[in-house]
Amino acid sequence: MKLLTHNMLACHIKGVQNGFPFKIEAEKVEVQEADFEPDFLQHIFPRIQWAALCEAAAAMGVEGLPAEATEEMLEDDAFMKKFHHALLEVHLQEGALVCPETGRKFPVSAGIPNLLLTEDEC
Amino acid sequence: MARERGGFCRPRGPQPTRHLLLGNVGPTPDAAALADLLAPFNGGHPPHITLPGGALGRTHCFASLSSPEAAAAAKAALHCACCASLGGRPLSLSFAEQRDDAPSDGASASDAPVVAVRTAAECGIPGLALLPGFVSAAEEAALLAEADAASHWQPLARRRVLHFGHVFDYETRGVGEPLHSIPPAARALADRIQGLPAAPAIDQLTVNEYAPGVGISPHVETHSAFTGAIVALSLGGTAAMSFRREGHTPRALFLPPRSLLIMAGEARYAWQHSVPQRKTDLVSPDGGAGEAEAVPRAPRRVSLTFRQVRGFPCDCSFPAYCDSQLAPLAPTRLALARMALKAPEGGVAAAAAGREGPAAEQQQQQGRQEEQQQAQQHSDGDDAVLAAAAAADPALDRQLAALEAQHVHAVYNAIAPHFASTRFAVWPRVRAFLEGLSPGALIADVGCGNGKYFGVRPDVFVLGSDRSEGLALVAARRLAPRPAGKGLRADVAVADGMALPHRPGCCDGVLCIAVLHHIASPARRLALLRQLLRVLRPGGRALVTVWATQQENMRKAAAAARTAARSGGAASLQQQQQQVQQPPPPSAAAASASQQQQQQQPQPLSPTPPSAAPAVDAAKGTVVFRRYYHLFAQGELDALVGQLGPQAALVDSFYDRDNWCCVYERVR
Repeated sequence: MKLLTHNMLACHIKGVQNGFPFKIEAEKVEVQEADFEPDFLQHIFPRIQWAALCEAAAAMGVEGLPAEATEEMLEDDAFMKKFHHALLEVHLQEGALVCPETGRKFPVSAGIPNLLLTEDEC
Repeated sequence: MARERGGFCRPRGPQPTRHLLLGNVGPTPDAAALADLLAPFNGGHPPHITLPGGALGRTHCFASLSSPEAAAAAKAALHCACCASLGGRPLSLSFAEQRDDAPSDGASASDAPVVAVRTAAECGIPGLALLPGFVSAAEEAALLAEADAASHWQPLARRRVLHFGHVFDYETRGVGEPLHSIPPAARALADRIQGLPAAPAIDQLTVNEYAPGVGISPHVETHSAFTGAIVALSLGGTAAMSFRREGHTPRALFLPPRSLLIMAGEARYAWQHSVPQRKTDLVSPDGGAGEAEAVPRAPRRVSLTFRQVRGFPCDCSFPAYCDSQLAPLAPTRLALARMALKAPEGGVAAAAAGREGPAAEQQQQQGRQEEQQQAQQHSDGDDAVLAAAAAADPALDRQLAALEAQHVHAVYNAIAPHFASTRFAVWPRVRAFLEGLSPGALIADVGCGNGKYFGVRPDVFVLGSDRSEGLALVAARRLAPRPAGKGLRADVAVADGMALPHRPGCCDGVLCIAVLHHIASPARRLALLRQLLRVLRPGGRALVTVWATQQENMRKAAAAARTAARSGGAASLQQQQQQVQQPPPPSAAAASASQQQQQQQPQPLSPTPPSAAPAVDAAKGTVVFRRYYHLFAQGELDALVGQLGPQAALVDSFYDRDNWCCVYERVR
């Protein structure tokens, strides 16, 4: 699971108001090299919740992301490399996504988060 | 071969012929019963039945009907059906051509025997090796004696087999639990073979005994079942083994007794091998010069195939032929027959099917030709009843969810590998929708299946989700970094479309392809559309496709039904259509139970009119699955989108390849 995916997920248990972002419990993190394409990053940047990405990256042991990011920084190659790395190359292989409101843990196994709810959570 | 087959041969093309090969009609085919069975399709006249000459124990015969249309109607109605007057066996019908009817420009290319060469080097297939005289005559005798002494020979239609180590299941193409350990002489030989370079760690042995003239259909040893090289020792008689691969000239290799054949790499993973059914092989002379000689096959040939059972998915470099890597292998004929027949407990049918083994191996080759249909036989209809009941009783909603769990989720989990391997083609309309999104778009693919829409556009990100963990695992394999996977800009989650875990308003696009029709009530379908809307950003668009009542396949079925009606045998086909439209009982539980019963009971055929064998797909002569679905009528999907209220705007609505499709946009 990439951190871009983490950025797209929120706890969906019925009644939960503040289900974003999931906290990450990382047991196994893998880095898988991906093609660096600044164009893709520039396009996707406006769609990213930056604070959530920073928090997730820290939980995965990735350092060097600035606490805030602006469009101007997209011209900075060093920043873009870090952004790319955090967003697409760092994978949560084993661990859990934890709802910030209820503490409910959704397991991540073989890189696949299981977000199925139980009957009384729907 | 013409003599052997009673003057009939395989047709040269896919067009129907007026002759049918009737298979699995028993050790002594009952010509009168067969003629009666076919008469309704032949304008009421019993067709001429030709019994094959030669040895007793033939399980097939031929029927000559008045026209190809009559034969096609009979085939559509009776293929895979079981008939009480013929002992309840599942019939197999295929078109045949009379030798005299066949065009006179000679046998088709596949019939023309290839002259077998004597060395693997002359064959020129990478990974193929032949070691003549690998065992002595004394060892040969000991190995044969050991095999003959075994008590667990398994009879197949034309040959018998013996499995040591793990048992190969001809229905699933998988290996079962280890049963009989490899006996001493064979084990000693296996240990010797393991000393060869690149040999597998042998833990499975299959002994095949072929009577003279008997062969084995083209197949590739199932990638996911066995790892590494396949090693086969020939004992007793000789055979010419044929090899073929698309885009390559076919070739054949002569296998003398006591020779060891090794298939590794390309030879093992990409080439089909077979032993043609014939009593004499054409073999190039020793040394290569001069006329080919005809080598008669000896009384029996016994082959010992040594393999290593694979405990993990295959990652060979021939993905197009690899079931572990999504290559389309058809369900085996056995699997289809069993689904068609499924007795309430499955036990009886399973035992009967077990004797039909060898056909399974053919399927691998045939299946690649055609997208296999997982015919869907569940249906519903009376939505109004369900909707009213659901409104009155919230508990019913849970029942409906349970119905989906049993007849959608569980089925997809069970069939995930095969299902995934049959779903490749990127629909042009889906591609067009994706191409309409802006670069850097975030896309939710709800019900992503095997993830075939990942990577259609490299400049967007797709988060696929599926309710089936099995399919999610298959889809995730596409994400692995190169070279194994494609390193796509995508991810996979296990999630229910009815409760999407996406951050509300985060998606620029949503795909929901062939999912909504599996939802069991209008209210729940609307709820799913709401979920899609919830995760879209304002201005974001969703593409939803559902199966339509207007099926092109059904139009074909209808055409066949008209043909059949003219010859007096329309019942089964019409019944098939009716089945799709038939309203279910109002309670979901009852619907499930009654459908299941209908699907699972073997339905004996009476000669006139033939009743439906419900799991048979009339159009294709294939069978079977019990997934729940609801077919959408024209306008039904649009109306459902309309119920989303002012938050959603219908942007586009169209029919494409048996599906109703619509695009709707989140207005704000």
